Amino acid sequence: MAPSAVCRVRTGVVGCYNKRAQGSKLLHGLKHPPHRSIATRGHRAGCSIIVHSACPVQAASVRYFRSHPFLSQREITMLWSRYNHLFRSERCGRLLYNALSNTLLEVDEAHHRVLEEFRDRGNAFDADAEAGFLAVLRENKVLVDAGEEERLLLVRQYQRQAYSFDTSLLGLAICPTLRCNFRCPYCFEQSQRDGKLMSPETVVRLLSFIRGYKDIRHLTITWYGGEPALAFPVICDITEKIQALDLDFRGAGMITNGYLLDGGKIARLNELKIRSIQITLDGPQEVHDTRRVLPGGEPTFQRILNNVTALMDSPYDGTCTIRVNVDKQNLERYVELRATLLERFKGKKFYVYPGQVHTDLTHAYGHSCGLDLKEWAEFNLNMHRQTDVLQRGDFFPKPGPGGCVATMHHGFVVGPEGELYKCWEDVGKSAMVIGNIYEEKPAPELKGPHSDLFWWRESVRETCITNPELRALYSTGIDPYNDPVCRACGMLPICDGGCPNKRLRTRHFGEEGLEFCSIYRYNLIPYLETCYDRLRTKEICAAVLTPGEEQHDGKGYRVVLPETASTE
Amino acid sequence: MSRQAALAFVERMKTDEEFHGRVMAEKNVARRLTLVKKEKFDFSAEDLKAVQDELSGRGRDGETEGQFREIDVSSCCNGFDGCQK
Repeated sequence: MAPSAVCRVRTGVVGCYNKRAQGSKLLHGLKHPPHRSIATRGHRAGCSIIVHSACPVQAASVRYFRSHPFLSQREITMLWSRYNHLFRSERCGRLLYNALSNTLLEVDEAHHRVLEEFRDRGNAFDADAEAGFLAVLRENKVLVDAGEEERLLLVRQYQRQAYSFDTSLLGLAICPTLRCNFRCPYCFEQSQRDGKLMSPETVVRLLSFIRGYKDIRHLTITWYGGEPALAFPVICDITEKIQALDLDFRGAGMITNGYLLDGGKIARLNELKIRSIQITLDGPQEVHDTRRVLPGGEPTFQRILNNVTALMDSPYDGTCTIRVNVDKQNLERYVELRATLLERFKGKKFYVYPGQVHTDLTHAYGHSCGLDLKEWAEFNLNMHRQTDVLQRGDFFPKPGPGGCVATMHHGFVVGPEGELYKCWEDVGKSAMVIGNIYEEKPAPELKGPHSDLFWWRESVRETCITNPELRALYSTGIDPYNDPVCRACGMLPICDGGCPNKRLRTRHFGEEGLEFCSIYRYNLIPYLETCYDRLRTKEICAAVLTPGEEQHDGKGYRVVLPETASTE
Repeated sequence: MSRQAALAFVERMKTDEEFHGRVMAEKNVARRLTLVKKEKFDFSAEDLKAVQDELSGRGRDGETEGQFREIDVSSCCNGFDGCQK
């Protein structure tokens, strides 16, 4: 069909006109005050569309026209992504980050001006930009098709759900006791004096519960508490029985304060398949001993350090990670402790990282001691500026389906009396119990056509879940992709909703003062600058050490991070 | 000290375009390093390589290079990160 004359409409009505068939009659459209606009044409059937730029109606109107058969592909694939962050940095030059593709681009001044124009117009329709540059922008989701972001978010949501409902593995955090031999001022658990150990009967029930998952491929366990070392014989007993099951027991981790980790226990770690141990030290001795103390206030640092030394000198083949709980009281001392420990255990499978202390508003330790998200980011950045130490996981976003025991269908925290929770932070809180392994009914023999069906197997296992609503809230109920606030946030693709526990408490229980957002929400640009700066350091080292001329592609734009991304 | 000198040199390369141009105008690595030494940056090629390796995730301890454990379903978010015990 031959194109008809373009109908340029200046009435402020965004819409689709068919001049030839209907005169200048508006077929469908949206009323909007006139302002700077560009015309795009439905060449094949004489449609002319006026799309107003930089206005909130634009995205909706273009999505509306998306279904229109007269629009050419080019006209619907040039919208400025809402996940773009275009900025000039005094130190790093001109950068553009897109959170949907998690890509950082570096551009020269000319290309930056083009991008500013796209940003201000809200699109790149009729853009006078080179095809290669536009292709890179399209590939990295800087320019998107109408509705493309929504479709990609839908894919992310699907991936998140698929990950949560992966039933090939069973993950258990087991608390053989809630008793603790420490009295740390910031501890969120209220059950340190609860002397109960997991009973032999509960161990039998736990084994039966695990056997119910015989169709899983892997089992992982984290020993937790309370202080799990206070119930070490229970750990040995459960592990021995699990190893006798026909399951792929991948191994375990243990969160311990390290005080009771003596030679006898260290000698058994390998046979118990405890592959990783996390121990907390809160600073150099004089700092730690004011925070992590025994019930009578006695110090603990030296004994823990002796135990760590014994562990690292032993044939233990797992890793030891020291977590340092950092807040306003001790943040100045982290770097010093870290350096001392890394030097002392050089060459061992030994790591140190800072952990953010979270206390709720009502906690006796005082909310004011904890670092908020902005302060936490500043702490990490300062640490890097002063000593090159990176925060755990680098500074560049690493998006992926978020998940932990709280969101996983086959993830449980098991209390010493067989009670089931979804999150470690819920341990000891009766209102947060989602079930009990004692509630499990004897499984009927699975026979017949339904025996291999997922829902049938699940219905048998579900008998121990007494609060299915709470469990559902933890996964689907707090899905950030269903949260209008999160959907409007430019960080959603790299955040994936943050901590499920804090999100649940904030969104559903109305608790105040909890931060569950991504650290990038308030600190994206300084973090990206740090990433870029490190990359430049590496590039300069490589260039100086490579004979010959320095290589420049001369295009004026390139994808700098992630380093594997293509630039064309 | 030599690591710090190498980092100071890289910093100057980032901020001083003229210096960057002069260094890279030398096609030979040894001559570049001689020029750099004249500018009072006392480090070797190995020191510079060590910085490069460090930033590529080789050479220093896992934590500084952002070692990520495979997320363990029984764990809190990102390994043990969420727990403050």
